[in-house]
Amino acid sequence: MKDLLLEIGTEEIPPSFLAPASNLLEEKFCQFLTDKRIAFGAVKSFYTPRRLTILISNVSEKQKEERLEIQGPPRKFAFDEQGRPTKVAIGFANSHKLKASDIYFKQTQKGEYVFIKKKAEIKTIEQLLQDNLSGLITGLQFPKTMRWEADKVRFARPIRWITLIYGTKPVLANVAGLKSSGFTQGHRNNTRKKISITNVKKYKETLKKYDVLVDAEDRKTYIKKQLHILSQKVKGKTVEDEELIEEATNICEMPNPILCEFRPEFLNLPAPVLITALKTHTRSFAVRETKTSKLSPYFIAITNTPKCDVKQVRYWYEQAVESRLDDAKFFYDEDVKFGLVNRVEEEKKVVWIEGLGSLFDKTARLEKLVVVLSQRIANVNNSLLLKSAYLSKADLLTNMVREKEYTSLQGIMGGIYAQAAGEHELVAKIIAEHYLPKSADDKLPETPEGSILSIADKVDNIVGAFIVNAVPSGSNDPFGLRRQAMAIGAICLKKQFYFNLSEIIDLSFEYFGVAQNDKLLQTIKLFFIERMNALLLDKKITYDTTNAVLAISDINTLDAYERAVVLSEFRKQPEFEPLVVGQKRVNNILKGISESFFVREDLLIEPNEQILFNQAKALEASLNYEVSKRNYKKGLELLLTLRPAIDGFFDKVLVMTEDENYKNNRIGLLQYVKSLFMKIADLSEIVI
Amino acid sequence: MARINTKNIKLRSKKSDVKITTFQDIVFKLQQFWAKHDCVIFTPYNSEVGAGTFNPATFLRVLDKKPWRVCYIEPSKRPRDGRYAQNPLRVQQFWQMQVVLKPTPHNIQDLYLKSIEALGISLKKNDIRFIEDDWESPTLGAWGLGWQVELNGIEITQFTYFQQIGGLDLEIIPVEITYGLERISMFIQNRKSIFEVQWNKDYTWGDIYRQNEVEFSKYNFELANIEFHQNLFNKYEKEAEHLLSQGLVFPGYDCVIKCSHAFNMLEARGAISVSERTNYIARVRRLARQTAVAYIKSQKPIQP
Repeated sequence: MKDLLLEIGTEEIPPSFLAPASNLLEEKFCQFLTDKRIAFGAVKSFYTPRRLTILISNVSEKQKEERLEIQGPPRKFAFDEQGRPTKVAIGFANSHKLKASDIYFKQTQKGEYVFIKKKAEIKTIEQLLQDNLSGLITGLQFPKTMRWEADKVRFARPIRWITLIYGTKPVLANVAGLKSSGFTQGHRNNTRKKISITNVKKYKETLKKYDVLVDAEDRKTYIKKQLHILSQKVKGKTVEDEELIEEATNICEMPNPILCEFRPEFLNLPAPVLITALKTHTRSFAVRETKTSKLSPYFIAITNTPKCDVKQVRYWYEQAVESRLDDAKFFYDEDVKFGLVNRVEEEKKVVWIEGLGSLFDKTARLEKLVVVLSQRIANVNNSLLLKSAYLSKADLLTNMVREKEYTSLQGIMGGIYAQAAGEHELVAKIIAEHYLPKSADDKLPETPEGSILSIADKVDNIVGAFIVNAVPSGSNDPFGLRRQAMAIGAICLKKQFYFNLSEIIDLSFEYFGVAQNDKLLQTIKLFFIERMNALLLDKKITYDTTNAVLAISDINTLDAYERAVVLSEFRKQPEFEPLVVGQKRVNNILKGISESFFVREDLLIEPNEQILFNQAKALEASLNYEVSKRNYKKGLELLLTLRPAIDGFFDKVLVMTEDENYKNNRIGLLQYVKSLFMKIADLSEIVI
Repeated sequence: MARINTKNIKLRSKKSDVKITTFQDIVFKLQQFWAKHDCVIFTPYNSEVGAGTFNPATFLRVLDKKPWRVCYIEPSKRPRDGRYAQNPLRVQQFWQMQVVLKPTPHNIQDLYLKSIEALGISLKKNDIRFIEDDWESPTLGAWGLGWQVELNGIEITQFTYFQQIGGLDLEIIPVEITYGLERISMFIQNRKSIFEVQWNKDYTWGDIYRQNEVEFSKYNFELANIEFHQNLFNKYEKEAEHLLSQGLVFPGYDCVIKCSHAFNMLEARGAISVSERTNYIARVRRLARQTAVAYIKSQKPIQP
């Protein structure tokens, strides 16, 4: 039992690839050891841009013993009638270096066969690594891979060394054209010397001596600590950004945060611009004044050179940042001078989606959509909403948002420019938040108007994408249509928006001015219903309750959710189960009957069918009332009162009677009862 | 709040305190460095290109299976980037130092860093790092994976392992190292403007190129004849197709380069809408692919 160290030395791997690759390596390596019957203890994984490491304690020296059962030829060929082994049996035994007397028989699906048990070959851990390591490493997956030699090996970036040590000795294996050794390398800017690892247990400490913090947690902790200390020096606090901390952690082997400064005049730039400029260009952190929470003219650059000439490095980082801020200031001033409203006209020149007209056309559709949406939603400032829709895409034409570095500020810049142009504060807010939520866990728009514009924009995106057949398939959803459809539902729930999206989809399709296509419309609606389904499941509604409400609901997330919540609660009552059983029976009988029948009272001859009809008839009006008031609980309670009558009907009345008239009339009665239940949910979907 | 003192910092090595390392010194030093590493010291192409990658010494030579090492400077013309010499950092023509090594040596990053040290830039004092940046040229149907190299937060080099050129997978992977000579000079000489870079002891970059920048900006943005350039594009496209179909790779490719420049001019003139743009790019890419295919065909050994 000794410790095993594997370090894959590479050129700088992209920061976002590191953690997943490290997890995958650990998983695959442990699987490999388990498959090969090698016992092992605790596992630790580390990574930096230049290395993926796995350190495993107490790895056994060789494979655990195992006896393998090997199937031979059929018994009838291997043994003669007297039960003596034939040449076939002897040959089989010999080929495994055993005797015919070791053979035994076993019945298989194809008849009786001979078998033999043989000790599996025992390999040492070194042998196993030599045989398997290359495949294991080159089999690691990354979002993007490359080749760097004439061979077919692919990896995120070139592999340049392999450190492989078992106990105290290096293990020699061939990996991607390299020979493994007991040597590693230190920080690139520290030394070009090879570093010998003599004690696997001291791996971390050894690397630290050569300016490598191999544990990402150590780097992150250090960065956070320094951010705190440095920003306090100027009475400030770092602008929090987990994503940026993660990135900074993963582009360093030895982080060295440096406090820098820019000319205070740049503080006139909007805060999101400053923060984004610092983040995207130099991966630096903005600093706020602790007292006022306003941005201060400082930033913290996370360099990767621990003993650098701080003054010189700081000077150039400041130069780099100021030249970018100069650009940003130029864009900002030009954009404000030009005016947001004047960009709307320019939208005509920009293709939105190939084949679906310009960005201006999109804006025009949004204006129509927000009008129809606001007719369905109370307490909306219509004129400001319309104005916002008109201006909503104009920022895409501004100098700022057209720059790759600032595209993430779409919407936000629109809001800022709207305000600079003297638009109403609400207009600025609506524009700023209409792209929300940008990811599954992002915040939702706050204002009802921003929520409406967000819904309109997303419906238009989805319907448009379906028209040009850019639809999601499998894990491929380049436009994030699934996320956008879910977002629409989430907004409706949060803002208590109650409307049938189906109508909006119809109108949205119409506004594109393409040929009517009912099949496509159906596909789009099914897509939305699937997403509604996913959203309800996310909200911890069970799948059968979800099915029960979606079977009857319009595309109205809030309505489906309310029904589902009531139904989930109602399910706990003991009377509920028989009600479901009743519905399932009704459904079974009606299965395959496409014709609808109207109930004729004169044909209701059995008392039990009269009772059911009369009771159902009696509660229909109240049921309609409760449903219209979305009192689904009361509605269910009403339906529950039908239970004895339904049971009585099934006990005493034969539906499939010989006489067509009676039969059809009874079918009509069941169809009528079913229609009452279907006002709330399809209970036959419930699993009991 | 006290401003951190950044003044009076010694920004140059001892030697250059006496004598400044000029733009042309930097060119010489890099050429010397790469000549020592067996590169052919080559010349810029005799036609307008947007990047050193267009030079046949890169675009064509990386396609075959023969080893190739080359180093050359290339004036990169980007008509859209002109600012009438008013912006200290943006010009419509700047200088690249292009190095291509095929196959890629194992220690290529280290070699690159040594070339930086050869310019007198200390790796221990400065923060040098390789930041993920994948390169792509849609017009050349080319892409690769690599980094931009940042020196104290300033991008000084693009470092790329080519994977595909002219839409064809490369069998032997070359590395392309493109130094931004103006950026490196500004760092070494501590200048805030390209125009202030000392070309030799007597002339600045601005002395040599200011008028050129102003006039070309005016030409690119205002005076270039749109119809003329549309014609050029169409005619060169036809000529390229004809020549390539006859197996004349170098003259054919020459016309492809002219097409690409005509496209850049039209774009600078604002004569191309977004949808047309995609179309133009596709047309150049198709020619680039034809060139690559024709070149590989021409490399087949001729039977005696």
